[in-house]
Amino acid sequence: MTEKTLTDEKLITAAREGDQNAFQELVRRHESRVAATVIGMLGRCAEAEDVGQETFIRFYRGLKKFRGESGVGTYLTRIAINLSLNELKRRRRRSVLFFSRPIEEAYDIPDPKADSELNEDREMVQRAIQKLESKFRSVVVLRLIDGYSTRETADILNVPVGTVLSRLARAQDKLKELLSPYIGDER
Amino acid sequence: MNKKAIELLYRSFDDSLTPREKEQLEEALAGSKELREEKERITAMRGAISASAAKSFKPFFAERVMRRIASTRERSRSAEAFFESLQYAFRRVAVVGATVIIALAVYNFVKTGDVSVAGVLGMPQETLEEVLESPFDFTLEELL
Repeated sequence: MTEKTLTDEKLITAAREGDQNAFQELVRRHESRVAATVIGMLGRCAEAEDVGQETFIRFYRGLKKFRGESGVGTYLTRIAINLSLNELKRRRRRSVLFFSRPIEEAYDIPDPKADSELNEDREMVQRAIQKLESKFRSVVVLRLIDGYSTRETADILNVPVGTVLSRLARAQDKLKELLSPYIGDER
Repeated sequence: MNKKAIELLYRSFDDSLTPREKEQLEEALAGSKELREEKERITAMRGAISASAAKSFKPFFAERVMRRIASTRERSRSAEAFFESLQYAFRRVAVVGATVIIALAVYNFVKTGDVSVAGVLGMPQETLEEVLESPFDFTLEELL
């Protein structure tokens, strides 16, 4: 039986016993979810790739502790969102020390290759999300990009459901303002 | 637009409405073109956000992760080896050091018969005045 046909649980058991191919298959399987979370939070940049790698390294180190109470995807999303929020804090500190321009501009350096792959609309939406404060950005990423329910988003961020709802409402207002020309074109 | 209807519309995307609230929203939507347009706008925006999701990192991401894990394992193995050799060396130095200290203490005790810590450690017992006293004990007249 190849790794591709195994369930996540079986791959985790194999990885715990030192099977590197099993862990690599887990990385392949969950890359898209982690990428959506991390790139949604940080934009397409070198730091996003680092945070993505670090997410899987933390998961690897914590394999023995993983009890499977939540799915592998949710567990990885939790690590990814926390690491992304830490990275945003670091950015803010660095921007205070080294940059005179706004942090969103300082890090708004899209990967040229990725940029050409993205159509104009997707690019505009990603840029608008990057302009949100991190606490609003995290709910937008988890709820609207990753597709978690409001309850799951609250659990991942460790905040009450009401907080998620109010942050979503405020984030949507801001996004509506930022994306109004685009939404106008759609109609 | 009706404020209550707008609030219900927004909530309907992320929260479950009661049957009564659903009914109220349906009625409001049926009666307001503006509200229907707002619903379309929000749906379009949420769709665009959802479609903007990145699908992957750069190619060969999994391979890069595995390489980093391998190098982390290698580093932690060499750190463990270094710590073990440090422990091994320290144990030997500690035993020799303790033996020398005990031997010196016994020697000092036998020589002076002093059981105080200073005596056993072979430290001279001097007062603060003695320590601060100038070693050049002469007057200005003697110098001239």
